Amino acid sequence: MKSFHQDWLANVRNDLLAGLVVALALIPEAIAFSIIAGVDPKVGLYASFCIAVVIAFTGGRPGMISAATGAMALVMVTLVKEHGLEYLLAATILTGMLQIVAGWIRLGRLMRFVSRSVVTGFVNALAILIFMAQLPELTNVTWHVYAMTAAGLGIIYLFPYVTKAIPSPLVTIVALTAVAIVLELDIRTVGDMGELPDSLPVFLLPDVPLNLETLAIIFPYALTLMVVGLLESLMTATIVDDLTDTPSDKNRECVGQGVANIASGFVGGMAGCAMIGQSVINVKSGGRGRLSTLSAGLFLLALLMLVGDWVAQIPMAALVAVMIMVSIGTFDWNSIRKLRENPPSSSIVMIATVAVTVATHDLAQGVLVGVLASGFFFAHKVGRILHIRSAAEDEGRLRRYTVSGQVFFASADAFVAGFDFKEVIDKVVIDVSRAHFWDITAVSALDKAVVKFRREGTDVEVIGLNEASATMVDKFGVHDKDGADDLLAGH
Amino acid sequence: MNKQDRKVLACVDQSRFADTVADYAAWAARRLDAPLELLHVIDRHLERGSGEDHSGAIGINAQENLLHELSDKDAAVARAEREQGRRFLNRLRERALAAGAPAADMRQRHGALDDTLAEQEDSVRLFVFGRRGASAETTQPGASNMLGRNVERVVRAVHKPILTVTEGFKQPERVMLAYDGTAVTRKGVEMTPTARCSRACPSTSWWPARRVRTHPGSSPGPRTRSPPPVSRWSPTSSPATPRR
Repeated sequence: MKSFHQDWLANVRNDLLAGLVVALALIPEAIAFSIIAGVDPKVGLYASFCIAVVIAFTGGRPGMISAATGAMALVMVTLVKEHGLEYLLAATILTGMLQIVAGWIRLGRLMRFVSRSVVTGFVNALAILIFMAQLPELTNVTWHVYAMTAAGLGIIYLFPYVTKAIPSPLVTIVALTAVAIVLELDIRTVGDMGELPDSLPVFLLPDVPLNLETLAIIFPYALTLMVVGLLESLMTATIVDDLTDTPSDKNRECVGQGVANIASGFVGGMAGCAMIGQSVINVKSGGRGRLSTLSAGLFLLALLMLVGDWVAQIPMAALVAVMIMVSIGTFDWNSIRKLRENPPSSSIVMIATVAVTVATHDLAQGVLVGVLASGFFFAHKVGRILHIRSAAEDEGRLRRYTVSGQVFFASADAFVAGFDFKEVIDKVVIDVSRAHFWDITAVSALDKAVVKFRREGTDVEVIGLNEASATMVDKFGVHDKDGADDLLAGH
Repeated sequence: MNKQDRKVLACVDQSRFADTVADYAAWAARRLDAPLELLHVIDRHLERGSGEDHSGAIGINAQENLLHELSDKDAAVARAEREQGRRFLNRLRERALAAGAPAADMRQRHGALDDTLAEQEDSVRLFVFGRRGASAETTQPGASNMLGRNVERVVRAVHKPILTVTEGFKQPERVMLAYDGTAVTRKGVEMTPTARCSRACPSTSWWPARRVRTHPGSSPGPRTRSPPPVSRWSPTSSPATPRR
């Protein structure tokens, strides 16, 4: 009861107002993202309505806005181009199913492998891609379009100084549409981009053959959509957690995204996920509860039904201005300043994530590269935490090596190089009580060192293998088992 | 934790019951010879947004600026509340010491009341509350005799003795027990004669007679098992009249 009250009823007035602001900002975005994906604006608008309404009930992060997004739209471009809308709807439903499974098996835990630098790279790449997607509207056009876009940006950023009671993107759209109609400018409008919704969304099954061939077509896309959708949603959830200083249920969010996408697919909408920019706008406008998300979806549909005919008249320049604002607001500008301050490895991870994403137009690949790069740098750094000291004892008959630090695949060579195999000596003691052996590479490096000493006729004693290392050695090592020398002879 | 170290926890907010709670808690702490702690829980209501900016425009570093703005706002509110709460608690502490509490500590915590108390439960011997908190004046304006929402939630959440008080301190003279033969009430009966608070007071247990008449065999009451160590209710020994 307490949670229900907190989630839905604790903030009614602010939630409704914020929902309205978000709905107004969602319309241009949904249209713009539909255009990116190559489908009719109504596909994105239905998706935004449906996802926002469903996620209000099923999501794990109250106050977060989910709808049709640029990140998802970019993934589906090829699918739409090669196979058409119906396959996109089927892929959307499959994406939802995969996301539900991901939530059930608690895939959200894997988010901890996505480092801060990768997250920054992700949002920067997203911002760049959203901006780049606007460029076709700004090339080979008359000067009117540039003037309109510039005026639009001016209104968006300056109007809040006049009043913050009215959403400035709305003012931009209304003003530019009025100007275009009054001056009878011959510029592209939303109506030119495809079909707009003329009715309430209805339930429909995607018109695709239910066979393995279809699955083979849509599965790779659904998999990427699942990854991108969950990544952006979980990142946005963390952002909203920080902004509102409240926790969220990440696994419930995964399942919720899945349910919302399945619902979207069945009403003719494209796949979507959480939106960073819109969620920031929602929180900024005072939205905190589930009611803000629900009302955003409902207001969106109501607005479309009320002013649907006028939406077609909106000049594309107005949408471009709004989308440039979203792209500027999404980009993490501090990250550029911090490029020098941060460790080079972090900066490289961030830049690699951005570069791969922008090159492939696929956020999933960018994040994969970023995660691998951060893992690589981490292994490299930890691998340097290895010290081998030695001292002669017993009048030069014995040398004691003291190993401290982490021994694993990245430091195994350094480990072996720490011993002097050419030394003529009776006995060697290797004290590894302050070292950690993490993998079989480390164990075989120890084996190698021991066996090399033995070949020189030197007795070797390994002491202080701690519990963790001892189990590794018991399982994989050869030097303390029978036939160690035979094994070496084979080399 | 040693039983003697467990404290009497007086849970106060800025409602009209606060002074009475301090008085009763001081009395209980004296009788139990237990340390007294005055607790003020500040519920920050993070689920409520503050939105004056409906511009819907996000500029450079929107997310970071918003985070700073919101956390600065929260910090200012938290500082004001903290200072106000500190003064309020300090006044109550003086009052409790004057009323004869052996020692009085004070503490402010963030969070929901029930969660906070459930966490503290192990170190507490007795919770003391007003019947309604400050928020009840707005959330349950008509029902001024009812338990407050938060009080009710706490009663369900904690498993330690709770003393809820109404306005005006009067040293308890008699203890009345409501008894229906269930395990919980039997435990209450067993605790009563040993509890220091009530040692000085004559005990009376109230036992709804109707129920026993209807289920004489099935009721685990004192008729079928060993009688409780207190007298059964009889009209002459009770100040209250039971419902029938």
